Amino acid sequence: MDIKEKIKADLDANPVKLYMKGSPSFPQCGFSKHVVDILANYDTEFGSSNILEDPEIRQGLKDYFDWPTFPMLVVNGELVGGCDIISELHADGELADALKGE
Amino acid sequence: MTEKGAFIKRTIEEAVPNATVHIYDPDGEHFQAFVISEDFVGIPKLKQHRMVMNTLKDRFATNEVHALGLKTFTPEKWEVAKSNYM
Repeated sequence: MDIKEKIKADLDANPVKLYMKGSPSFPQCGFSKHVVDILANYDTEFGSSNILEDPEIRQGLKDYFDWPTFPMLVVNGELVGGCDIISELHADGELADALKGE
Repeated sequence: MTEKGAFIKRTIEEAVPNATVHIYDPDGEHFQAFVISEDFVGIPKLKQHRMVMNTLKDRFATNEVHALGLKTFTPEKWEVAKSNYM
C-alpha cells in the first residue's frame, strides 16, 4: 500500500480527521492546539494523527492536499483548512456545517 | 520589519497577482499576513490561502518559516474589515 492509499484508507475510516502536531491531549504546536480547542466547542467525533511520529505521512499529506503546513482538518476526504481557515469558519459560525461536510 | 518579514512580503507579492500585502512582524518569527487581491474575487477561501501559502512551501518545509497567520481579502471585503486591523 503506497502512501496515497494509506491516506485514502485513513480518510475513509475517519469522516472528520485532524492531522496535527502532537495529539488532542498533548498538542505540540500552538496552531494545532488552537484547532483542537475550537473543535471542543462542537460535539463532532474526529480521528487525529500525530504527524510528528510519521515523516512519510507528513510529506505525503502535504502532497496529497497540496497544502504546506499542519494542522489540516479534513472532512469527508476534503481539506477544510488549517488553523486560519478553521478559526475564521468558527468565528463566522460556518464551522458546524463544514464539519457535516456541507 | 525584519529581513524574514520583508522576504515573506516580497514572496507573496511576486506570486499572487495584483496583491497588496501587509505583514505584521512583532518578533521576526511569528508573522501575520493580510493579503488583498482583486484575483480573490469568486475564489473559495481555501484556494485563496493555498495561492499564498504555497509560495512559501519550501520555507515551511525547512521550518525557516513556521508561524505565519494569514487572512485574505478581496479589495471590497478589505475596505470593510481593515479598521479591525490597521
